[in-house]
Amino acid sequence: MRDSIMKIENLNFSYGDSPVLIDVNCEIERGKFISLIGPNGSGKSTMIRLICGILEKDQGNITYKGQNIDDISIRHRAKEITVIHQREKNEFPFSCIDTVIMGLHPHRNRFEPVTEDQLCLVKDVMIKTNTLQFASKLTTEISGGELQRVILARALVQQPKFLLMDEAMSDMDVNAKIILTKMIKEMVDEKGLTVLAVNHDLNLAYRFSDEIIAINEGEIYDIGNPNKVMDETLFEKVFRVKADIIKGKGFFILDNIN
Amino acid sequence: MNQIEQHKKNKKKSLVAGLLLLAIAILLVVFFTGQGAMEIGFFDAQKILTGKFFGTEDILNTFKENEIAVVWDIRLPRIICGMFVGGGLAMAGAMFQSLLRNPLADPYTLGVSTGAAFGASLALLINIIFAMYLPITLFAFAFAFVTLILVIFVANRGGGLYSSNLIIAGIIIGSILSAGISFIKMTAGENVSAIVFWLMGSLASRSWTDVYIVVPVVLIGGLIGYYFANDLNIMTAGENNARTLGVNTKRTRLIYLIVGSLITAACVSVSGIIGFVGLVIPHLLRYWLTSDNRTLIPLCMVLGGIILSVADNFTRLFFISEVPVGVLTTLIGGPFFLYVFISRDRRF
Repeated sequence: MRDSIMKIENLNFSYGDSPVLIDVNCEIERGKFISLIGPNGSGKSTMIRLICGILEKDQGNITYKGQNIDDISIRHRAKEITVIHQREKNEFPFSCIDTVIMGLHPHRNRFEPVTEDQLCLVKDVMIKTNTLQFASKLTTEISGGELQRVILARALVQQPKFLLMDEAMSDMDVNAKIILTKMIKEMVDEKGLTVLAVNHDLNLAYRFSDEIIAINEGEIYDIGNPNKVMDETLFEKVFRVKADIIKGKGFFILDNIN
Repeated sequence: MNQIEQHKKNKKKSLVAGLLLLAIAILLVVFFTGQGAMEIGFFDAQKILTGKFFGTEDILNTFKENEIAVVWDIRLPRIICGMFVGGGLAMAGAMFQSLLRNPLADPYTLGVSTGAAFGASLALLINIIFAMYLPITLFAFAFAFVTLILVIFVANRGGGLYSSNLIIAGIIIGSILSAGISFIKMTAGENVSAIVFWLMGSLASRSWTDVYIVVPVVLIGGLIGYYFANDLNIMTAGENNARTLGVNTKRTRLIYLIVGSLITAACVSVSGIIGFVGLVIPHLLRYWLTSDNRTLIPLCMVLGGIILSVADNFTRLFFISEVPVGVLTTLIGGPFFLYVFISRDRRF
């Protein structure tokens, strides 16, 4: 018996006349790091957006912990599920630490001051995400990759049970990517966090995921263990490339296929 | 812990700045009531104000009746109007900038002020042609409100109450109303000067009636704005992010849309169109102190009030024929903002 945190049934969505997701069915297992992979325009981001309620589905059912996700209040949902998008930005000069503190919002009443415990959590998360050293800098003064780390810190301060990432790390350098992916993987293994991440870095997805959901042209191509799913046919059929697979280590992309 | 301590220190700095500005504002009110054609000293003005405020006849009996009238009925309402119009415009500016996620927005972006101007012009025209005494302020306020409803309606039909839709709807309705104002001006013929002067924005000869309109709206609006300020902060990170952070974005948007517009409407109905305060004050405060709306909104109230009231008393005291304060704020505020903009260290 799988212990699933989220169930997606017959999910359909289209922009106007062009269908983006067709009859998607899957279960997200609790306490797993799951990567969502697929080429551009295959419907990955749309799926993330449908799950976190930015888009409204045409058809289908999404249940979170057995409850229809539309029936969960915004505030309660924010305590359970959060999402990090790619290239976040804010036109207004908030300090980084103020931005991270915004993550406490669903856990605080309106005029409650931030407690010492909460500040400790903020500090802790900012050390882990390597953002504490520029905590009082403004979000308009730091680089895109640094800002993504601040946004990740904000999401972690929110203490979600289910974290969605939509290419959240694509602006970060290789070192930061590996450090943060390891950190998140640790939270998955030790604290039972569930992660669903859209990832274009297939090597990272392969190394750190417990499960891969491969999606192609709006339909699920395959679900399962990375070793099983990420084989030569996947690269040929879904990504249209020829790849050298080094078992247990990763891939080397050789050439495209037309 | 260094960075955390720094963060706490910054919060305190804003509080100190706020209290300091509040003290300055109160001192200025007393100071300005003592200034004018009739010489009344600072302490005499203060005595008349406290005497009137607490109804102490003993104090009032030591002053002449016309002195009391000048301080209490002529100067004070104008000064209070200046404080609250300036503060209201600055607060509305801060709210609209955050709500529309656009640092260039101001209280006039959504065309609500043009609606007020249209209402006022119409009332002035009717008064001129039919020799009536329609209340200009109420007309302005009513038209501003109707404009707000129209803008919300149009933006909603045009795809939802999002920043870009609201701005476009505001521009469209604003320009139609501007053309309407031009038409009214033309119809007014040689009596056009009354309308032109109203539009330029002035606080001259404002009475207690004006105070009763602007003060409650600005105060209540400001309090509501302050109450939901945390939500507004998070809204600047974008609507989608705000929702995943637990903010009821639809409600927050509607609240600030209505509150910001009503404050603007009240201010414009009382003073005409006074430019720049609503754009510049929030920017300066963000630049000097913080973007946190919980601090920013109250500080805007106080600093906006101080700036407009200083400008207004400057026009009142130093010019023989009064220059409308709306012209002065833009004449002085414009170049000053230009200076700040050019010499900024790319922080906003």
